[in-house]
Amino acid sequence: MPQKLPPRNPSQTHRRKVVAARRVGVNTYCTSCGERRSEALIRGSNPIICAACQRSATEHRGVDKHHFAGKANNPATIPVPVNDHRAHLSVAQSDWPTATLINAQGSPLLAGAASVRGFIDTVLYLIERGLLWISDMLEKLDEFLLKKLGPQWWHGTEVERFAPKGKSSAKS
Amino acid sequence: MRNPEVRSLPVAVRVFPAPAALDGDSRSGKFWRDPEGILFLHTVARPNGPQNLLLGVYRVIIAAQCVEEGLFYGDDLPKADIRVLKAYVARHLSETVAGGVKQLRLLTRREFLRLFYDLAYKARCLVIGSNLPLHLSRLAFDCAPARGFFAGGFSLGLWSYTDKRGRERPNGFRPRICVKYIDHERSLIAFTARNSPDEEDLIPEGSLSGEPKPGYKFPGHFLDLRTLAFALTDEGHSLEAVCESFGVRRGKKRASP
Repeated sequence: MPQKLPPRNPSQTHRRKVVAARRVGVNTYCTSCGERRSEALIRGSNPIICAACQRSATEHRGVDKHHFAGKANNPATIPVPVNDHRAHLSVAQSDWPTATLINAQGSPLLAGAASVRGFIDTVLYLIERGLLWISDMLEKLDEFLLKKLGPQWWHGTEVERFAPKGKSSAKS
Repeated sequence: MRNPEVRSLPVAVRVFPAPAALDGDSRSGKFWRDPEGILFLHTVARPNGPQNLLLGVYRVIIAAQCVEEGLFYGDDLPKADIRVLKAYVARHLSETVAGGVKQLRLLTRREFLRLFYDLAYKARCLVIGSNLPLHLSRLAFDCAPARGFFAGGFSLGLWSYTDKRGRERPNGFRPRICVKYIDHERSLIAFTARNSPDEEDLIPEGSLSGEPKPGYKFPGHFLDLRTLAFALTDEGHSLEAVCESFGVRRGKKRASP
């Protein structure tokens, strides 16, 4: 399962990624938490730290208000961790058509398009952060229990009621 | 078993010496890092005519995966020919990976130059072509004698703008490309400096700190396949011959007129 939607313009996405990486230096990461996303690192900090660690060092909140549809299109914001704001959601917005993101004339259609794009980006972010790890964890747990308790380890347990019906009746 | 005919054969030995220490003892202390992005380009001119750009093809490869490919055409291509190209790109899909652009793109020369600037100069991708100086010259709108290190070579102006009087002028805010031929098979190619470079353009290659270095000029990453083939085989090749000798599955084909 792909973890992300493909970028709209992969060449420009690559350019932004390369330039962001060059600004903070080769193979750089946060010396405090190990964050490696270039967009989240503070350029010129010595030693290099990420925005979240800088905020925590200066006793500021590590949460930003993200304009999910772009500031020009909708004033609504959602709270997101500062590193994810810089390295994930704002980067995703850079891949939108410039006219939609800026919406210089205040077009209602572009504002609508931005809201749809912003909603998709936010849902994908939540899926990636909130759901994908569960699939990975369940697969690993199944592998572990198979080794520990043998095949069909769920028989006679509370978990059996979640087993696919066709398969469990065929076995019994 | 007798072999009455004894013939002498020339023997050649090619040596690829391994560097003694790759981790710090080299003279400059810097090593060339493979760019993650690659831009392939190839152009054609009208047969038996002036060498102006007629048509070109390009392919963008990022992390060893083709993400975009397309065609571009010269400024003076007749509308009927452009219609043919539009019909072609509408009928054909590009051969990109799952995350790439599925539609084959069709760009004008100016649009392609914007992409070329973004990838070759800003993203510092590797630019590859067979007989690359020729293709770069077809993209150029003006040419002047090069100076300094490239004295004796050509300075190609690729990017231009139209002034108030409608004249096409060289764009000083974009780099030029200098080409100097060493011999028939080898040439030196590099970007020149440009006016008002951005801070990220002044960061040297492989910089650990990301600090801009005033006066730094990014020379570009250019690879001429003809030079590479010459280095590997010690023979001069055309693109067609290179494809044949290296067993390329879908090499260059001659187009029917």
